[in-house]
Amino acid sequence: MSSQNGNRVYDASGLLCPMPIIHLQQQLAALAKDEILQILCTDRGTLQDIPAWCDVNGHTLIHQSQDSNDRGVTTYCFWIQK
Amino acid sequence: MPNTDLQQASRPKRALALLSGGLDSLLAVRIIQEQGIEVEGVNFYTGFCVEGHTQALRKTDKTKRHSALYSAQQLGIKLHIVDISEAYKEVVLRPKYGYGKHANPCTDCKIFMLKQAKLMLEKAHEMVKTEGFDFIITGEVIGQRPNSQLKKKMPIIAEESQTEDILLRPLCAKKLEPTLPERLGWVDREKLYSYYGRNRSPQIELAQHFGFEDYAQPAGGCCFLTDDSYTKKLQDLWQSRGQRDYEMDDIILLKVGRHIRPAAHFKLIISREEGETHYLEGYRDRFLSMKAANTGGALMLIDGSPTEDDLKLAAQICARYSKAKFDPQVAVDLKRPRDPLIQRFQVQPFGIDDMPAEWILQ
Repeated sequence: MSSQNGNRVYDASGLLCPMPIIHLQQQLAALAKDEILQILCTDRGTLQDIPAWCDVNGHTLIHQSQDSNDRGVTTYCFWIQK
Repeated sequence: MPNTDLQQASRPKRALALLSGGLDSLLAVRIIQEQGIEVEGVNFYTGFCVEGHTQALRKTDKTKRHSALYSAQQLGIKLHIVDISEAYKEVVLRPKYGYGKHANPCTDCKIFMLKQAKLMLEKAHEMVKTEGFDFIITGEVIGQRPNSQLKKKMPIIAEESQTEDILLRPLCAKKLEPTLPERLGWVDREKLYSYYGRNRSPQIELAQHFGFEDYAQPAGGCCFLTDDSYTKKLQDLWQSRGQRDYEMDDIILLKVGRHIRPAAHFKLIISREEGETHYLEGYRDRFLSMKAANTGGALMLIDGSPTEDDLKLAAQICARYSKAKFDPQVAVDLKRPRDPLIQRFQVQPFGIDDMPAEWILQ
């Protein structure tokens, strides 16, 4: 996990469902309440899974975005507040 | 009685549910919630869960979602997703109670998952006395599955997992001996069910009663080890290596692409669409790989120890899965792991109908 603009950043690119969620759980467990984690994923399933996981576990998904590179690989980015 | 035990005794009872994402575990949780008991779910990732990987890779119109997460949303409960894939190998490779129809060690699988749940329960007790769990629930139904849910297996599973008296199966509890939560009055046994056998109608009616309209397909469809095609590929992997073992990458790659074995000493894994191509790209530093040059087409990994003649054949097959498959000659590039140099083959694409059926693993 690295740090960017004061937020923790975790790169889960290349991981497939449900590993991004499992890694997200582990990373968030290490943060204090109200801290923000930015997680990068390439699995399209995270578009559904991460909002659902935040919903059931009481964390706040404060923002999400996506960007595609010239090889057609899309990266999904989520900002989650514990 | 120590103070912490007093706290335990006086606080509301809580249950930990094995939540597969199927209808039965969804109903089991709701039945217990209806009795005023707080429930949290746990979902175990074995590496063979149908939820992941290929669904995530392939572009389909189907809604992609994690079924257990969706169940938890519907139920309004917390969900812990736990990776047990490494420890689960022992269950797959050496099941005490053997396999089902395919490579599915269902009885050992259930015992293992319940053991894991009990460990979680014990850990929660140690960590925060007031937030512990008092018992475990599952969506098992006697006689619904041909192996793990036989009535004679139910006590064995409870005993071997050491969950015994704290394992409650709300859908068929009235056909089993009362468990601790029932005997102590935490749960009203009269409000539990006596479902039996493979008939799904009672569960579907109960789902309607609870207002559940959208739920995953019946149990058994959530594990690749019950899938005929997948297990054939797994058996082929073990046979070709001369030993029954696997790494996570092995079992993930069995879910990706077409698998073609022209000879015992090498196998081809060919992407079927863009998502799989992107995914297999990540393996090019570990496998020999081929792709048609100057035209679109599949990415192909080569697993094993091919000879130069084998590589020429592999190039022909790669060309057959390119956009130039009807051209007389196609250029195919071979990339070796950690080698920047590309070896180019000029080949005639393999004939569309020339592929021997026994080469295709499906």
